[in-house]
Amino acid sequence: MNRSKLYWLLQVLGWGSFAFVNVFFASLSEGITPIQVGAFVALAGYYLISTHAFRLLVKSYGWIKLPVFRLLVQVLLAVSVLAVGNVLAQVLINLAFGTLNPGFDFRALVISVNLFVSFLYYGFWVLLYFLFHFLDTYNTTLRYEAKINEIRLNHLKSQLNPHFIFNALNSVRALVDEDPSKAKTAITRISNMLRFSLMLDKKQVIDFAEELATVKDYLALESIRFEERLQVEYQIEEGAYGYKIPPMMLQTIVENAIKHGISNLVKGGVIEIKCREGLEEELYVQVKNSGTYQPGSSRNRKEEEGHGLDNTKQRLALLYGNKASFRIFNAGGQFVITEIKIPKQRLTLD
Amino acid sequence: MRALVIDDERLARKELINLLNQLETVEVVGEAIHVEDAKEKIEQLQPDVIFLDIQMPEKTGFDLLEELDQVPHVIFTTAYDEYALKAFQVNALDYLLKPIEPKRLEEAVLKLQGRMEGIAKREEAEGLGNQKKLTLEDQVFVKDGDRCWFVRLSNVRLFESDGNYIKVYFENFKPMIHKSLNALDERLDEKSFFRASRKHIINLGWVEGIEPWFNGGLVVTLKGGDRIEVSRRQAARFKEMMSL
Repeated sequence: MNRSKLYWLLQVLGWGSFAFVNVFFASLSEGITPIQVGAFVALAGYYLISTHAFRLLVKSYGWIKLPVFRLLVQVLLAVSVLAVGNVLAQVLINLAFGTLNPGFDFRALVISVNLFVSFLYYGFWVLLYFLFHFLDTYNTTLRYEAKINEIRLNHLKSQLNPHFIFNALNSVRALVDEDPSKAKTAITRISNMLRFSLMLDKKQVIDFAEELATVKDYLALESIRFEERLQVEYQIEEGAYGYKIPPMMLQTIVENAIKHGISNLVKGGVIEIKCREGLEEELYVQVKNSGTYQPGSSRNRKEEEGHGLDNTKQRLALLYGNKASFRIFNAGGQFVITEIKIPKQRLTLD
Repeated sequence: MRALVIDDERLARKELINLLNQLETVEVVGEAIHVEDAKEKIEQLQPDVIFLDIQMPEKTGFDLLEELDQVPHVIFTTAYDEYALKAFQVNALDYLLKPIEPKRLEEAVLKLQGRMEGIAKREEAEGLGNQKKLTLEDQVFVKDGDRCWFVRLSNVRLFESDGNYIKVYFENFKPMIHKSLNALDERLDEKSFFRASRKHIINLGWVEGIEPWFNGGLVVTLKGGDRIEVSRRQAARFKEMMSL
């Protein structure tokens, strides 16, 4: 149902039941004439028209966007004016239907009661109107934020680096003559990685073991390229396998270690992957590589460099809030350590 | 033609050399594993063409080109590098994507051969032979941020020294190269380029007008409107060169 239809439905139903209830109680106490019924319906009609006019005012002057205090003052003022107008309208309606009783209706007490009652009715209407609006906006904002987060996460998800894939294929081409069985293993590893990257489209986290298997394939392939220039060591605690981690996150860190560490060193170096469980149900993943970390000193390709690490930080923050952490630092002059901490529980569930 | 293969990965070199060995016109004279190695081997082997990988440890293929005094013909090789690809395409440089397709390699070599023959003919006609100086037909490699060019010297109207750098003026660009003007002056053919002053070398082919200036100096106007002062000392030489 669209919003304007909903509005009219609620208006007619609301003021219709106002007329009905009034007629009903009036008939209970002292019996009712068709003329009185007409007067009540006319009054309900007046309420409907006046509230609708008020709505037009609110919409055309954009009251919804006003600061709360100012809105409150304006609304109170408007409701008072409406109530006064309503009391006048009641007199006119009674006059028109011939139900006016000057001796009774013009007494100060009656007028102030009428004023107060119509003030209450308008107040109630306004309350419902703004409440609906605020809930509706709040809802949309929540939905919007959830959507944005999802888009951001998808965007941040790393993909297989094409540079790596083509280099690996190039090495394999040369290996076909030199060492056919090694070439076959390499082809299997490349297809493992491709399959993995195709399948992780929708998942926000995957089993640690799955990620580690990909990283192992990746490093085995890079070892073919770099030969003796790349040494790899793993130290994985048993407990690490109980965790789930964001797909391609360890992979991105290791790729960075290769790209900025090993591939920049003529003599090559070492990559060491350590995973251990912390004291409070958290996983520490540490990648140590030969090289030096120089933040912001990227040669002349600023946009590309450091992109992977920024993405990793943002992904961690979106998935785990402040329960995850990321750091990268130089260790002992010859090594760079990249470390992430991941909690067992995530902020959001699938 | 004599080719040098430059790549830091042994398997990548092996693959390319395998492919090149299947072409009759190409003789692979050597391989180099990084920029310093490549500089030595180019000096020593004087290849006609280098097959150059962009991403290598410590210094890139572009760095190599910037450091070379005399750049041989270059065919770039890369696996996938968006920035490099953009640079190649914009400037119509020759490049091959790894894994290299044998047919593409053959085409690139054929194209290069055609170009080399053209240059050889022109050089013969001009009787330049094996002169080591840079002539108008030679190309220099310049790089400015993400953009790079092979500029034919005949298109360069002016070199201007700026600290430790030289600004190379061509078309609407003036990228910098890291060299001293004196070193460049020695390398340039004096029939085509003239040292106007401490700060400037001009391309004589671009001179449009000459006027006398204070103290017996001259001001030369180049096509395109640049006005360059010729110092008093050089003015005499300049008049001598430009007169019959």
